[in-house]
Amino acid sequence: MSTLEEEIRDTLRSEAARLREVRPLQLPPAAAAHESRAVPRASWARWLRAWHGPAVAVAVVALVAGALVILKSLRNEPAAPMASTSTVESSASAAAAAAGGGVGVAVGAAPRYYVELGWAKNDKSWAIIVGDRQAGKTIATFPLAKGGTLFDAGVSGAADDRTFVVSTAPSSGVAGPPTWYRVRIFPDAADPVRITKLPIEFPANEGVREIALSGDGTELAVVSMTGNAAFKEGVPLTLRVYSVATGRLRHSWSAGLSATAGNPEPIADLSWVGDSTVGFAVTYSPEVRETVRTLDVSKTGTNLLADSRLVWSQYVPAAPHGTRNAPHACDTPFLTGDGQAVVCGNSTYSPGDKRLSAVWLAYPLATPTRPRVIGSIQQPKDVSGFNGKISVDWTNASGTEVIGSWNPSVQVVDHGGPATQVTNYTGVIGNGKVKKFPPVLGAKVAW
Amino acid sequence: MCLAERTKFPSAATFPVGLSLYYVDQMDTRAPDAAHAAVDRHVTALYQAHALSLARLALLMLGDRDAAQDVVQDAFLGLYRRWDKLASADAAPAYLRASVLNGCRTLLKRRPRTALPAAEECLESAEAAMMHTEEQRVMLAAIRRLPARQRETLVLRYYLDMSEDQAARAMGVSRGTVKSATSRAIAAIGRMLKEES
Repeated sequence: MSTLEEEIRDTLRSEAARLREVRPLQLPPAAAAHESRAVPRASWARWLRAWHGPAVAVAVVALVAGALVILKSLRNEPAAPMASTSTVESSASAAAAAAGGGVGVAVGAAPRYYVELGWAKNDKSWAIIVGDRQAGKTIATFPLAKGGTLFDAGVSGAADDRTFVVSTAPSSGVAGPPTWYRVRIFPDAADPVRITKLPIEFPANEGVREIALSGDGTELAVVSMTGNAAFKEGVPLTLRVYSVATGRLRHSWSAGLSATAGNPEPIADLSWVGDSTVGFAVTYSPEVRETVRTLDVSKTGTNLLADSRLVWSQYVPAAPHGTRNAPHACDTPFLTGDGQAVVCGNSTYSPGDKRLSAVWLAYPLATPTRPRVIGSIQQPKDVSGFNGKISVDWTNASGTEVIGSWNPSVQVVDHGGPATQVTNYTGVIGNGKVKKFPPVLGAKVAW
Repeated sequence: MCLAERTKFPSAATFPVGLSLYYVDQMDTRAPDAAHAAVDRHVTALYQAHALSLARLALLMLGDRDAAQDVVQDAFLGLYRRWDKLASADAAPAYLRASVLNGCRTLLKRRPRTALPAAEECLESAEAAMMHTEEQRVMLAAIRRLPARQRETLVLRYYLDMSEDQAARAMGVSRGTVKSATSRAIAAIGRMLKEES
């Protein structure tokens, strides 16, 4: 092969590598599956789009012509008030739209379905709740057996937005391993949600701290610690990887780190890069140093920190407690599916107008000192802080779009005394904008 | 993936504990359209496995991310509709690749007077810009100026590493046509690079 041919090959491969993700597959509804006319082909949609521009241009010309005719017919009236009214209307629409949570955010790529572990609304038990973000409704609720708890529970979704794995703890005070379920969503089926138990071989004396299902739904990473449904200091954490199909343990690593009261989740925010690498965050001391590491789970090993590789680190100096503009550690730092960036939630403070903002950032691993703003939302002036984490609940593979949650708090006077009022928000964040949707308030949620 | 797993495990109804009986009954006694669900699963699994590589192939052919993804979606929808006519599931990847190449050709025929976007227009971020060296940007611009057939031969031969025979079969032309198109494409790129320097 000549040098020129090699350059052509390198160029083509480099160009192809720029495309790192594809939008989700949208299959037609069941009834229309074999009716070719039922679903417009994308090429047909392209044709429509191609005519969209000219059609809009024609409409604009017609509107302008109409406006000129009207102006001409109203010769004695000055044109300025009309222009002024128009401006006011535009501002009002923009304000209304902004109040609604942002304009023009493309939400197509963000997952539609979620599984929430929370309290059953019409029942007196904990439940696995399956919801549809787009429709804004719950699809199905599966109450746990009496006494089933979510204290040591986990939930995680695969990349297809249809497959989830859930772990629930046994009844309080009852020894035994957690129960594992696979939740699958079939939007067009008569029973759109089906749950089956999974035979995961999990130690009976351990509690689940966090789980992450691989993108293809075949492997499950689990962080656990000895002891069920109760927090214990000084107990080392373990990361295990299981085959979802067989439930068998593939590999296990001990972290050599244990939870403390001040740092209850030293290992958290699990994610998968491909099908053989797990990313996880290690926090050495809260608000001081956070790191993200990757572990090749196709290889054997025993020591989580020694066998993994540091890919991102952030040092946050300790700051006076309660200071609004104090440096803030990155909340829920997740390694993206392409393994190229760490995304997280954070807050910023603008001294000029004295307002806080929730902000979601992507730190490219190649240039970690230059984070990219995925989106931010400025808070009203009376917001004095955020209650809990500004979290990343889901991210796309390249870290350009996330689903995040934030809980601004306001100091109020209630029953004659000071109190804190917290509001919960969840939204799709991308292109610098935030589009809110009704918050999902379960103890644990996976998208 | 999913079908294989389902055959290995008992249904939820056979599990004695975990969920209340009411819900367990509700979950498994109402059977779905099994055949449809199976196709759904197959196509979704294929999409997870092949969509990105096919979209990359289409991107090289079309130079347009959105159009590339449209073509790939079309190909998978076509597969979904014609699943029962497929000889075997193993034939699906080849069917998809042929379908994507056909879709690209059709799209390129429909826009004969529109040049493919230059490399610079496609770069959407500083990070993306850093991925190409200056030489690669010039090379990419040259590849994009080639006639569609010549560009396709380069993509098949040098991106997919196809032999001349394989490329000929994929394009539905003779081996000689592939050989001459490749040779002309390389010569044209050489000329364009010289002019550029």
